Amino acid sequence: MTYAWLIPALPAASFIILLFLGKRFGKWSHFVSVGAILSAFAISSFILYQVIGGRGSEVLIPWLSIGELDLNVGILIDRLTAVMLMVVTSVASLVQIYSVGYMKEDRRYHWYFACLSLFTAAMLMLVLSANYVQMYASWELVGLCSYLLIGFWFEKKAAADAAKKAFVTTRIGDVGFLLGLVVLYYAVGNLDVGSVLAARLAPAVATAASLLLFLGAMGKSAQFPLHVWLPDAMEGPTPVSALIHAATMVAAGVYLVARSYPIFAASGVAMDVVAGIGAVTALMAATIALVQRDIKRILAYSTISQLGLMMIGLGVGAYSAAVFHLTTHAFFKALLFLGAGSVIHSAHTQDIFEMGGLAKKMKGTAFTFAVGGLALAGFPGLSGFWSKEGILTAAFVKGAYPVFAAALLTSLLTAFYVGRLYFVVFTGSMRKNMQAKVHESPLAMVAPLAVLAFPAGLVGLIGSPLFGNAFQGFLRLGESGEHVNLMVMGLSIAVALAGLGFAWIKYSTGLLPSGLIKTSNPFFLLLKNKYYLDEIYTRGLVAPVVGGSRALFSFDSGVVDGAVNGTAWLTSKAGDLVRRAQRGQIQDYGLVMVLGIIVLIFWMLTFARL
Amino acid sequence: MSGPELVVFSLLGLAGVGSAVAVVSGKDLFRSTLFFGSFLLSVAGLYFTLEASFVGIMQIFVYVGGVVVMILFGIMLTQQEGARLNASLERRLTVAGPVALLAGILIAAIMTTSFKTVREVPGVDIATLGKLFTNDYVLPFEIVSVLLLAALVGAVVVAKEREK
Amino acid sequence: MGLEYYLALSAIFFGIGLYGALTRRNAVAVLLSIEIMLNGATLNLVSFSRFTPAKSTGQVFTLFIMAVAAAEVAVGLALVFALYRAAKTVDVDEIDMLRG
Repeated sequence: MTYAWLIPALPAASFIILLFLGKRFGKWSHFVSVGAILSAFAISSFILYQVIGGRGSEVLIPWLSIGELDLNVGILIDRLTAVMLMVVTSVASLVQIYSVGYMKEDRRYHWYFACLSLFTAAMLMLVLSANYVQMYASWELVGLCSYLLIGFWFEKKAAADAAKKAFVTTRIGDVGFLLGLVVLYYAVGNLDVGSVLAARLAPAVATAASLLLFLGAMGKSAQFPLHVWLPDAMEGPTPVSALIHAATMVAAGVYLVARSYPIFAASGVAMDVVAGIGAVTALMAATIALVQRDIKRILAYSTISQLGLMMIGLGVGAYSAAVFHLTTHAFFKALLFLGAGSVIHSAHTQDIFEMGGLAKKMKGTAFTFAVGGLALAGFPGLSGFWSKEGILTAAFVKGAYPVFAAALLTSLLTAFYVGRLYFVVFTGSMRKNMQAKVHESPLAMVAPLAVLAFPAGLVGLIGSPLFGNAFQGFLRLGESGEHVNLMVMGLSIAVALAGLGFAWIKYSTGLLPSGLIKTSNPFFLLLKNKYYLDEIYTRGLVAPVVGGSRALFSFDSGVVDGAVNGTAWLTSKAGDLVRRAQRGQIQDYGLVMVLGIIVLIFWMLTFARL
Repeated sequence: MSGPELVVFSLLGLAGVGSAVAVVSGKDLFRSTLFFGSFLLSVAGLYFTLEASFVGIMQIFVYVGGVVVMILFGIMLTQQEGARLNASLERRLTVAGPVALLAGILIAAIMTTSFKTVREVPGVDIATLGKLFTNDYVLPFEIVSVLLLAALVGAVVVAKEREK
Repeated sequence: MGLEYYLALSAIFFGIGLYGALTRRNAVAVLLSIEIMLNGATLNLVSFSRFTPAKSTGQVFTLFIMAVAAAEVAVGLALVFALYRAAKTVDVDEIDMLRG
């Protein structure tokens, strides 16, 4: 495992190469980047194989020593890391291959791949970090890449604004992360992951540290109330949305909580907060997703909702189920986003109601999208079903019934909006103006979809009771083994089918009148406007800051600058006055000099004794 | 100062003052320059009466032979027809007042001062001056030579037509 | 006992030169006037060297001043030429480039 450092190093090298030589590589840039990530994927696979064989490792090397503070960096490989490595490298590989087709026309092609490489390197560093400071640095680097890629088309104002919004919003969470590290440092004395997790923390310290860490996770994983950046982040290129804002980076928050799970587990309050926030987020995002028209935004809210579900899992103690859901979600959400990208690429619109009947022209995309959608909806037998199942069961067994109800309702809504999305986009009749331009996407895009469809549909089986919950057993961390709860499973199947079925009736058969819900319905408006959270933030947080800044600015420009400019004005006017004496005639100056000398002589003769 | 000396001094002084006045008030610049030459000769004569024969000779060589000739060339190159040489009468009077006052004060001050060293000393020969230049004043001497070189080059640069 | 006379005479020369320097409108004429002032000063120095024990220093100074004056005239004339070329005049009243 001594070569594990290569996993982040290869994409990092790719970034550096593309940064300096990218222009020269031009259209061939992706060979560097894809080659690096495929190598990293190969190494990750080998490491997973070794970890399954029972080996793990923690390598620490001293990095900095500041006074009494010793910082180490290193590589920590355990089962969680191995799983995350697989998720990140496989999704990243496919997304990068897909991008070759999707970004073909872009003039900053090499820069795009450079950013993707840097992001991948940072994300891999994040999951391999053996020290929290190292993790924090990678965490920030990941945030930076997210900023760069959301704002990749920075000529578009919406993209530039979204990038800023994402950066600023997640930063609020990052402050929490940093403070959490400070607390941990004072409590434990160093920040090596191993020793921090092994330490026995006082309950109060554990609560404080875990809540602060969770604040960081809320920012990165778009949990209520810091979720507002994620839907806007869809302004970035779609493969970026798939990789960063669906599969990997937003999972970083979940990963942070999972990695620090022993700290959270030491504090009942923290666990409840995690579960509560997760439930609120899951339900809120799912309801918003019901009424959105933009295909990527629907998926974005779906992502928020599913991340909330993962938090629920962690909060109710279903550590392995949550990580399992993270894994399955990464695959099927990446698949859905890439499918959406394929649709957008072909239809040149993101409004689902302008599409329709696309299945006829885009068979490959439609089929893979259906697989992803069903997996997300929790269709029995597919990935999402098994992983969601684990979380629901854990919530139910623990007796957290409100959370369980929220999760169940979320599942129902999820199934419904997935059905709505699929039926509106792919079935029904095609718009006339779409007929001509719609076509199947190039092979570079469809092939990753096809490849991704397998894990998206089937990876869940590893964690299913059919295989003895092998995945959960692999990751298990002190929790009791899961038992299949037939009632929960039955409810879960029921809500998934009910949601899909209702969507089918509503959007595909036309059995229900279309004006069933009036667009003036206040609840509809509430959802449509995303609970007015953006407006509340604008009025409540941004406006006072801007107002205060304005006041200070007017003080500065009025009083401070006024004083400065007044002085300058006075000097200038005085200069104007005195300038009249200066005619530029040197002989006049000479005459004045003579007069001055005479005065001086008189003065010396009269007052000074020579 | 004895009788003959006083006579010589008076004649030279009058010649000098007359020439100087002609230099600063004449209407013709060319003529002014010639009067400037006669002024310089008067001063050289005064140097001889002060037993500073080497300085007097240098005055004639450098000033009369060099500077005056150079200025004549300058006048010929820049002379303009009908250019007025003098300022207005009003201005001349305005200047004359203070200048006369200044000169008056100076003369009054000189005449009322009793200088301590009034003993006449023998004149200085060239050999002494040469030794002084190569011993006590060797550094200023060398600096002056550099200054002359710099002035020579500088004058050429300043006067030279600018290349586009 | 002739020191005062020489000094007074040099003061008169200086005054005449000063008057010329302040009233002449031609740059070359101003240069001449300044030379008269300089001669007044050097006459002063030679007089002191004649009538004081610090004998030869005044003459040395005078010779130095002559050298400097020659340099000054050379540079001064060069300036007059440059001025003439730039402003097409050597009338100092019309030259007020010093004015800001």
